[in-house]
Amino acid sequence: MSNERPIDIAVIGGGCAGMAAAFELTRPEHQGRYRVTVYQLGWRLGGKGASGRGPADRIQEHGLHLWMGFYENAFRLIRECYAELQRDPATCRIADWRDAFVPDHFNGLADWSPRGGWSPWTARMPPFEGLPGDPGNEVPRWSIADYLARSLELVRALVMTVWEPASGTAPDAQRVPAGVGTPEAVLESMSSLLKYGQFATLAAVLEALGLMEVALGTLRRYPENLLLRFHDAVAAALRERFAKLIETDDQLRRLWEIIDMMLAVVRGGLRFRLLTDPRGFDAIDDYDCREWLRLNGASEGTINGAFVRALYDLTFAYEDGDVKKPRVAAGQGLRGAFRAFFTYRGAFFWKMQSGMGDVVFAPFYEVLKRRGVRFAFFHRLEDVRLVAPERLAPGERPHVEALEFDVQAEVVGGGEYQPLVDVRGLPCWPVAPDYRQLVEGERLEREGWQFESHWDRRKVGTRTLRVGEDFDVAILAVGGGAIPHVCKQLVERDSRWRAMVERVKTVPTQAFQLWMSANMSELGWTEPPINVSGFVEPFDTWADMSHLASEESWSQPPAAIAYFCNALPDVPEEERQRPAFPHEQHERVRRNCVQFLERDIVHLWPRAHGDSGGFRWDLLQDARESPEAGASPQGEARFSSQYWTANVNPTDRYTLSLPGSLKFRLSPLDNTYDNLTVAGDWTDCGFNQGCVEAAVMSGRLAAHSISGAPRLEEIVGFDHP
Amino acid sequence: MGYRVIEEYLRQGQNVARTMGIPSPGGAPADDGLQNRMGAMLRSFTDFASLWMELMGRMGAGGAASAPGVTPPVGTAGPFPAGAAPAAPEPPKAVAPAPQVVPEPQAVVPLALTLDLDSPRRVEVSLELRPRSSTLPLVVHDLRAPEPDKPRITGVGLECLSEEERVILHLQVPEAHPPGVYSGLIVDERTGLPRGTLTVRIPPR
Repeated sequence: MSNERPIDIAVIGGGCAGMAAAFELTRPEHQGRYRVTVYQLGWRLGGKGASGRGPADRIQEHGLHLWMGFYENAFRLIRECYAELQRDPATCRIADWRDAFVPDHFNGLADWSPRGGWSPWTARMPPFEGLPGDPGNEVPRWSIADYLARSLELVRALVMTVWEPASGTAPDAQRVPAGVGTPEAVLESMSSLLKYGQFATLAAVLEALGLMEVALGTLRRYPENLLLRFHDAVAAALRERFAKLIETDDQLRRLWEIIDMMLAVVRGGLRFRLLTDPRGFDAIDDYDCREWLRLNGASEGTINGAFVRALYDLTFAYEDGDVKKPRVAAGQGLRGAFRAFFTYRGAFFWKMQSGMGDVVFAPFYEVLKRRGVRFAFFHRLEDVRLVAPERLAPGERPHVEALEFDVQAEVVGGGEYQPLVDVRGLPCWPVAPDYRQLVEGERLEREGWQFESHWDRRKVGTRTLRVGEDFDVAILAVGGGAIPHVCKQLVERDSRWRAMVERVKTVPTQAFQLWMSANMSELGWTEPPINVSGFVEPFDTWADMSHLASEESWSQPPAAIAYFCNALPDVPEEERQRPAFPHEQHERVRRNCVQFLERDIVHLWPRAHGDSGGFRWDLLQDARESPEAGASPQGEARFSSQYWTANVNPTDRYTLSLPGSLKFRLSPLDNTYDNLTVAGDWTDCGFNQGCVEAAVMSGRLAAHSISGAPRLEEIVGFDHP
Repeated sequence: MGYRVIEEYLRQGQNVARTMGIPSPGGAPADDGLQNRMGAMLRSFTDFASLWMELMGRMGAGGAASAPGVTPPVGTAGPFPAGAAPAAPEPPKAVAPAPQVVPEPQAVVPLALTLDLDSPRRVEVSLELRPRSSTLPLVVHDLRAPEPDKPRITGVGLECLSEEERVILHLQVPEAHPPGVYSGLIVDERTGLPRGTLTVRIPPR
């Protein structure tokens, strides 16, 4: 370490973005140049990914978290974190990242048939080469032409799957299409096929698709008109062949919807000249994804089908949480889908083997503590104060002069709060603070202080951090929904910040978890454990999390565990300020859950309903139930023993990627303020969608803006089209 | 990506300058290397010109992607019909939707093109022209191939009929002209600012 004073970094917010930034800035390579303190509301890290252990050590999450196989940055950091942690597998059951994350190949969509009724559409996603975050293994930087060529390859593969054996010899998918050789030969073949309209047989169509793949994959300059005309001819031939078949065959209709979507994507890519547009996918971000697909020829059946719907569900892409307003920026939507489907490694999804807090944030906390990072829990940011313009010296740049916090609780003895609890050898986060460590903790507990609630403004003091004394640089890594509340002066003074909070909208979410005494097959779900999206409102997404039963500490382990989530319809801002609001929303979600179980779940779990109809409430296991505790609630009232949450806190709100909004995001690389950078999935980070990967990318970018490391090319996806 | 292309363009230029400035051991420039670099530079120029056009177009069009005849974005395609919560519980109070951010629709007048082509052989013509160019006095630079030894296509004319929103492209390709891809800038004669590009591909026989 050099003799210079370390640079004091204040990281505000301990979610994925804040942890990533702290992790990067405290790498040994920096030789202690950065001294990091993390300021955190309440008693636990994690932000929207925070979890806690409740009664019977059951895991209680903010929502349903699955890591996707393309989360290269997130996996890279968590793998490095576990490697540095060096847990002993003999004493800790989650010692390595492979203990923490398990490939999850089996997925499904809830499909609404045109003839009425829901049915599951399940698929086993094949494992792809490598593992996410593999060190030293370069992830290819795909061009849009590569993605379009890959889309056509997928179309060709799907068409192959519906090849009618009776129609003759199946075409060889590997066969090199005619005309392949020089680019000129490819174009000549395409012109010739187009001229003679040789698309009468499926084999010819497949060959034509192959030609387009080659053209997109090899040509340096694209004769877009020819490609477009050729594509339209191929698409018309396919539509003609499929149109009649799909009316009566659900399986075929589903495949056709994907084919149709891919054809629209390729058509749009050519028509909108995305292959040569320097903005890449961003060029179409003013369009809604479905709107753009429709413009490029996708059918109504396709844009309303299960596949597209699931893409919206997975990102809560409903403005104001209103199911009547599905909206996501087309460019980011496509980028997300392409990255998800074509660049995953190992598995499409990776499932955590404990709570996200335990699997992700406890290891980060432990490693960062070892590196000397300080954690100031119970610190609620109130404002980021800028230096007054008139006080700036000539040539001095605008900067933050103070960070103002409410202190929610003091730690006995003035030391640092110790946040973790031991659950049979695994460091975990509890669902409530350890009041014994807090000054007057007994009183705080008795009075029911809600440290994570935006509406509970109680505090035991205030604290002002001053630049040059308490910090040098601040990383604002709070949830995007909190910005208007904690950056009042910035929003008031800076029109870009104002535009950002007005345009980059967020949405509340809702989630619930069930612990049941019957296993999934007894409930009527006969397929393997699955994640299903695209289902009904109010809960469109379900994941079978039964594998967590052994991780919890029940006297009688549940036979099945299920997690559900969805967006929650928003209410106007003035409504949200009322003190009763969070309680009302909590009750509202409870009603949604009960109604969902009574009315909808039977479509997925046919035996979850009793003979006389209605949900079998006796299936629910009560963690507090014991002979001493007396009779447990019965019937619908038994639902109160389960866990549900209305994520209405500003910090818990999910950031949307609405059409026309992405250009208003602020970049972690923006240096308007000399000592302030931003981090979070609400920033302009190269993957502008609410997810773990975006948050980690932004945290790495924030670290880069301060230290120059990691290099931008190491932040996978930042410079992808 | 734009920056990278521009940087590459500058780098290629520097390399060419460096090559030209350093005599080869025999006292004459290293012809092959120089030619390769000139070729690469010309290709970069072609890319750069396209990129420039894209950027100019972007500035003029307010950032929206352009596709001929395509509806400007409204940012929605309506709700999903299936399972769209017909019986979902309503929020406690009526939801007052915030005003939607709808990008300003862009009025684009369709431009007609008449191609006056004099060529005994097949050619592919690709014309990119920024909106609202038909009222301007336009000139087309000679069309050049990346290979410096190939002759230019000269005498290309672009005539604007502003009252008809039409441009007429006059193009003559001699029979003996070698196959290749030839590109040239279209510029506003008064200001010298680029308004588009013209690319002609002559396929091999």
